[in-house]
This record gives sequence, C-alpha cells and structure tokens, in this order.
Amino acid sequence: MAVDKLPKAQVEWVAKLAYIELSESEKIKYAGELSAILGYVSELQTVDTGKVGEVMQITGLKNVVEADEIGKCGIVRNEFLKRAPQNEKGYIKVKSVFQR
Amino acid sequence: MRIEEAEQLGIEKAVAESLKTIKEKSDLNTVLSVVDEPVIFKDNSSTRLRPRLRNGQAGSGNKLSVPYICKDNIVTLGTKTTAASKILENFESPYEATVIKKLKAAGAVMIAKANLDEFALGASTENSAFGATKNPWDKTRVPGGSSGGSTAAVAAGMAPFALGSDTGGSIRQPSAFCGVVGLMPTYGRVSRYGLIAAASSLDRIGPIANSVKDVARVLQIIAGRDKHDSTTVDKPVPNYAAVLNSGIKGIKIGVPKEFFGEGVDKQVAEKVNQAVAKLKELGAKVVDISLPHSRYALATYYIIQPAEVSANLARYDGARYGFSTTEDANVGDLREMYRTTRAKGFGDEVKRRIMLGTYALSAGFRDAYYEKAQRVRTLIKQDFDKAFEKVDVIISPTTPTIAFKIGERADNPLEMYKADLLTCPASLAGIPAISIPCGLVDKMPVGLQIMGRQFDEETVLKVAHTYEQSVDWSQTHEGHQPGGRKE
Repeated sequence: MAVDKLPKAQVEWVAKLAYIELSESEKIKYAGELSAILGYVSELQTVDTGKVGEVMQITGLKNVVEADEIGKCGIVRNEFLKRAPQNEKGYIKVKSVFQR
Repeated sequence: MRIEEAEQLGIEKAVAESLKTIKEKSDLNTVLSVVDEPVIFKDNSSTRLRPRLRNGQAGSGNKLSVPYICKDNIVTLGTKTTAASKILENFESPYEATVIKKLKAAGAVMIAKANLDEFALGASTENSAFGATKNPWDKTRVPGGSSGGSTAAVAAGMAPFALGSDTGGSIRQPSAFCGVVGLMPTYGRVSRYGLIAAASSLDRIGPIANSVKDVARVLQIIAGRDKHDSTTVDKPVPNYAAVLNSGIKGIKIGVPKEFFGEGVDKQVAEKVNQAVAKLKELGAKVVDISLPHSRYALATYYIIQPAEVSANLARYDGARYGFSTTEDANVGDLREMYRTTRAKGFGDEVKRRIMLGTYALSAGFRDAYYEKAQRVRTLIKQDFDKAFEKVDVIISPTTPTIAFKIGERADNPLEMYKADLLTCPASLAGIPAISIPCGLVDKMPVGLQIMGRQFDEETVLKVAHTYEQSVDWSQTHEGHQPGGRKE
C-alpha cells in the first residue's frame, strides 16, 4: 500500500472532504486510530485478484426496472417543511452559500 | 416469552405484560422509546386501520398477534426514529418501513424502539448516543451490537420477538452474546424500505426471538419482493414452518477450519464442536472444508462497509431534517453549517467510519481500497459457492469470544471490529446465517452460526431447529435459559 499511515495533515484533508469539523485533539486521535485500521486492511494487497472482477450485485440481479409512471406520494409538502430546521414561505431555508 | 405463550395470553395481556417488563428492567437501557398507547388489532376489529398489501404474504392468512420491539434504525409512525444518534434525536418519520406494515397487517403490535450502536455502527451497543445497553446475563458485560437493544430485550423477556438489522454481524453477534436466536436472511429476501441505510450492499433486516420456530414465523411474514426496494428478489416465499421437523438425515454439514483458528477462544470452539458432534448423532454428515479467503473477510468488510457508510451518511447535512447548527449566529455560511452540524451531531465511531470510507473512496485511493476489496469479495463468494457444491450448510462459532466487559474495547476500535471476524464472511457473500445458543462458557452464552446457500433459509432453519430440539438447557441455564424464560 502506498500509504500505510494517515498523518494528521491527511486526516485534515479527509475531514474536509467529509464535512466534519475536528478539534486539534481529535485530529491526533483519529490519525492514530485510522492509521491502525488502514494498516490492518492493507493485508488485502497481498491477495491475487488478477483473474476476478468486482462484486456488482451479490445475488446477481441486473437492470431492475419499474413502469415509468407517476406514483402516489402519501407525504405532503408540509410534512417535509415541518421537519426542516428552518423554513420560510414554503421553502426550506439554509445559510447563505457565499459569504457576503 | 415465546410467541406461542404470548398468543395464549391474548394480545392485550401480552402487550401489558411486555410493557410491564420493559419498565421493571429499565436499568438494562434496552429501549429508547415506548409506544404510549399501542394500537391493538383484535381479530374482529376493523380491517380499515390495517394496511392493505398488494404484494405481501402477510395478508394471506399468516397471523402474528403478539407484541414486538423494533430496532430504532427502522422507521415507524407514532414514535421517534433516532438511529441512536444525536443528529436524529427528535426525528419522526413521515412514513413507515415495509416490514412494519407487513407485521401490522398480520396483527403484530410494535411496542418499543430498541437501542443500538449509532447508525448500527458497532459491536457492543456502547456507541449509542443515549447510553450503553447492558447484557441481561451479566450487567457488567455488553449485549453485543449493533442490535444489542433488540437481543437484550428478547433475552430479558420484554417481547416474544424483535427486529434487528445485520450488516456485518449486527443480528447474529448480539444474539450469541445474549443467548437468543437471530437470523440474517439472504440479501434481497426481506425489504429494507424504511431501514436507515448504513452499507447498502450489505444491510439486511431480520428477526430475533427465543426459538428457531419463532424466528421462522416472523420471517414468513416479512419476506418477499417489495417494489420499494429494488434489491428484493422476486422468488416465492416457501412455507418455513413446514420444513422445520423434517429431520436432517443425510444433510451435509461443512466445518471450515479457518473459523476455529487464530483469535477464536478455545472454550467457545469446543462448545461448537460439541454441537457439531450432536448434529452428527442426529443423522447429519460432517465434512471438513476450507474457505481460504475468509481470512481476508474482516479487512474486506472494513473497506467496503465504511465506504458505503460515508456515502449514505452524507444526507445528514442539517438542512432538511434532524439536528442542525443553522440557527447558530456564530456559524457563517452553508459549508460551516454542514461541518459543525456533523461535528456535533455524530458520535466518535460514526465520524471514524465516515472518514475511513471517505479516504477509501477518494481520488487516487479508490482502486487500491474499494475496488480491491470488491474483488476480494468475489473470491470470498466463490469459496462459499464451491463449498456449497459439497455441503448443505456451514457451521462455525458466531463470535470468537463470549460477551466482553463494558468499556473493555471502547478505546480500541480495531479490537472492537474483530468481534465481526466470523460473521462478516456471510455478510459479504450475501448468504443467510443464523445464530442459536449452544451452551455456556463462564456462565455466558455461546452462539452457533449456521450459514446456508442464498435463498435457502429452509435448510438453515431446519438444521437449527433440529439441534435446538435435541438439547435441554433447563439444567445449565439457571432460569436464564435461552428461551427467554423469566428470572
């Protein structure tokens, strides 16, 4: 494996991709724990998989389709809105995407 | 409490009895919420309230008028569904899962939602945001996980059955630790519509109960194709009860040496060997087999599973539902809202898996991790295919050890992951597997795992039932027998 340990800088990069804010102590903790786990799973690199493909669907199902028709949705708009942390004028409200 | 006993009590008394036991044993922390006034369908009650099912078997005469407990990662109406996460602490689902609908149609009454490891990620139920569940056999030990609330509830006599979910062992491993029967059906046998997704190529819903027969009865109702879950398979659901007593003469049992070796407690292995000897006495043929790639199953699992978890849990973003920092004035823009919501809403193990999975799927690493793991998964599956040309079922211990102490592995995630060592191969291969009690080590229950061919739950259940009927736990289990008889 190219990387067998996950240094703190890489933990920061992964946390950024995953949208999880980490404290300094968490970064150190996860660097150690994730490195240990990645070290363990790296044993897969020793397995010869040259002749086999990836598992795509374990029971062999292919192209499962349903008729292309409009189905009934029993859930009304208000049910969604009332679960949203904030809503306004019938829409879900979120923080601004760009800083002013 | 067995299903038959609950039926004899009558649904109203059985519900009352269950609710009473839940209250009396609240120190075990098995349930997260209790249904205040469960809707009881009496035989002559209006069918208007019952859901009509077009594809379900439940409407066609299978009755199951007993109370049950549902793992809190399956959505239900009239209760919260939290997945034991702070991020869904106050979430009420606007719809209910297919399995819940089917059970309702059969007359079953859901009375409580069971504790679990947050988002079903864990092997001890210690990762719940709402406190750990305790093992009813020994309150200083874990019940296993992630369906530990469901298995502990059944073991403690709180309901005749419970629903759990299994991704890498989450039904079987806690069933073994709590001395109950738990079945992971074939991938695609039971609809997962309404199951909060963890790893979609692995997740399954299955029953937990006090006997093989009871598990078979629940499976009968929840199995079948569902157009809301495109991974369900359009195969007829056999009559499971009909095969249970047909005997095991000539059945070939494979015993894989890889499942009895390194990391497996000798006393646990010994109990399982005794069970195999018993099955031989009962007419089965025992064959030594090898599943050489199973030794890579745990590593394969801990790449595929976190990868899929990281994708599925991306939906918890604080925008549409659940916990959010969006009203916090200190939080600036949308991205900061995402980051802080997820930092505060998710527990440690969830963050660990999301980051592990994000890494395994990230540009430059995907081929080396995820793709490689899916190729090894093919080899693991092929090992099983080859073995099932020679044998009808494969038997192993369910877990490498008996239930460990609360806190013992909490600081060592990799040690915790090893609890899935013997259960994750069947998960990766998509095959059904059951765990049934097979004796005690240090006064704690040991689980026997029986794995079968895809969609051959019948043979798995038959072998399990035959073994179960041949043993009498009344001498050894001192009122705690795996039959859930109350203390």
